[in-house]
Amino acid sequence: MSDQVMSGKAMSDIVMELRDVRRTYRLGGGVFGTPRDLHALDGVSLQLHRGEVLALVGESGSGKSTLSRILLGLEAPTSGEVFLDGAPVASIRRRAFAARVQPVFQDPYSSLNPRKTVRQIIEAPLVIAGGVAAAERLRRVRELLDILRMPERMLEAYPSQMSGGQRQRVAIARALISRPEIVVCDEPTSALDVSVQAEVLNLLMELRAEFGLTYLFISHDLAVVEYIADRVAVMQSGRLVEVAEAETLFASPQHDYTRRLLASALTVPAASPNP
Amino acid sequence: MSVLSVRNLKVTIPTHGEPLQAVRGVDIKVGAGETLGIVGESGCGKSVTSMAIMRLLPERISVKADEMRLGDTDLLALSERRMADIRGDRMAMIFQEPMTALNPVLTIGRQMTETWTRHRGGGKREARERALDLLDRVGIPHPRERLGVYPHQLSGGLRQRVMIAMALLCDPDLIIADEPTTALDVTVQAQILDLLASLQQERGLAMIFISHDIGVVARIAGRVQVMYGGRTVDSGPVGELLGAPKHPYTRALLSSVPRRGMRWGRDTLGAIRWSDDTPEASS
Repeated sequence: MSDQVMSGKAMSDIVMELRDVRRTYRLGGGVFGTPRDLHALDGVSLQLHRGEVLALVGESGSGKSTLSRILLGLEAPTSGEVFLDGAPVASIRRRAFAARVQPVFQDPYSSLNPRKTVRQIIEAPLVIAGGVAAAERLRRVRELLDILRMPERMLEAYPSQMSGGQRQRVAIARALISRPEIVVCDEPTSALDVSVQAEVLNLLMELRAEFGLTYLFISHDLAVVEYIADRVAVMQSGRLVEVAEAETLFASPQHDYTRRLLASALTVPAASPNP
Repeated sequence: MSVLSVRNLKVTIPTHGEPLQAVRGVDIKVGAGETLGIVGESGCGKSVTSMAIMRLLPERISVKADEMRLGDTDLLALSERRMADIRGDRMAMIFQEPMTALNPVLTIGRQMTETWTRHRGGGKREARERALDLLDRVGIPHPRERLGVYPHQLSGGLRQRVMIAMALLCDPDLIIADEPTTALDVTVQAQILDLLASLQQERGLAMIFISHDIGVVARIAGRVQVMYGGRTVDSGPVGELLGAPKHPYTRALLSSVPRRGMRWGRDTLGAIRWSDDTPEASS
């Protein structure tokens, strides 16, 4: 499989980079109160290598989602810089940027517009970007449905007529239609049953090889992360406490917090005849 | 003797068309000091089963069983009023999201003391002492101050501890926990599971622990029932069932869960086919 070629140390090409990114939210204040600053990201520097799966782990409030929103350009850093292919993100036009970095969100029930058909949902990024004729858009939607193993008749279906797994495949199709370089997946399988999760994970990994994608994969499930990630970044309180190759991190976690996370993770014991 | 004994439970939900048989003949037995895990995917009937046992389903939903007993009380024969006496007293439930299960406009102290006086009568002081004692036992720091706070002022982990304290308030014989740690971070989840296990041992509780997460169930349950399509398709001691699964569905389910040490490209996650996941033929 070609995906083996893409993993490991061969990758050195940096597709996206954060340099000392900070994001501060001002909380409270009200009429008389004293506002205080919440440092959601507190000096994060991170490089995304072309073709890799970089997993971002950490608990609620650690800053994972703020980081993903900054990568997606949905939010600007308070200070620090973000680069896409070496160019400062601030210098790239919004629509051009969106076509190159696409999201897949956690909840396929709330992230799809319930009043639009599958075809309309999937082609939306192309409509927004403009410059692609309707016939070509439809051709690409069909091609993606086929790759994602969804029947043609789904084209005119609505999200309410679909299962969670099918909805997430629609969300993936929508993310891929503009042929992005980077897909930011924020807990993409957390809302799914395990059997469906397996199919979606396998699919994401096959698509990576087929489309040459780079993933930033946010998850709280360490077994999922170990299964698919090339590298893992561990966040705590707005800081990256450890970034390492996945095999290294799981075999010998360096930071105390990483060790605690690993110790708390509950997974199914390995199958063995009569334990 | 079993604390809870359910035989041939059937739950039917009326729909516009054919009634939906959500539970199709499930047996459950849990003894004192025992934890029964119920696992299965969305729609398998695990939550409906627990709601049926607590008799918390709306009236239009039909619940039938050959037997449904808590100790020597026949739960099927009880009036709603008698059932309300038992709920929160002899049997209690812990839900996934404490924010929706707790009353947002009452303080923690008020909710706990009301539950106690509702079931046990007695004065406010006694109820308050009891509440303090339990908040302390479930590991809530500064319990005296917490009595005066509202649910939204607590973190998710603390709220779930409050739920557990409330469930234990009247020393129930049976606790049903439905995905009690699903909304929590992993480190908090581990603490809550340890807490539940130690309280259960200490008090000789019978516990039903419902989860979609097989790793969690493996940690806390002694015996496990696997549900699919409203039926129990497999059951047994946790070590046997998960270590050497015999039933094809259990095997398929287990093979779809990533385990520590598995890597894409080297190990394969078995996906259960999508054939059952085509959309309803809706107009």
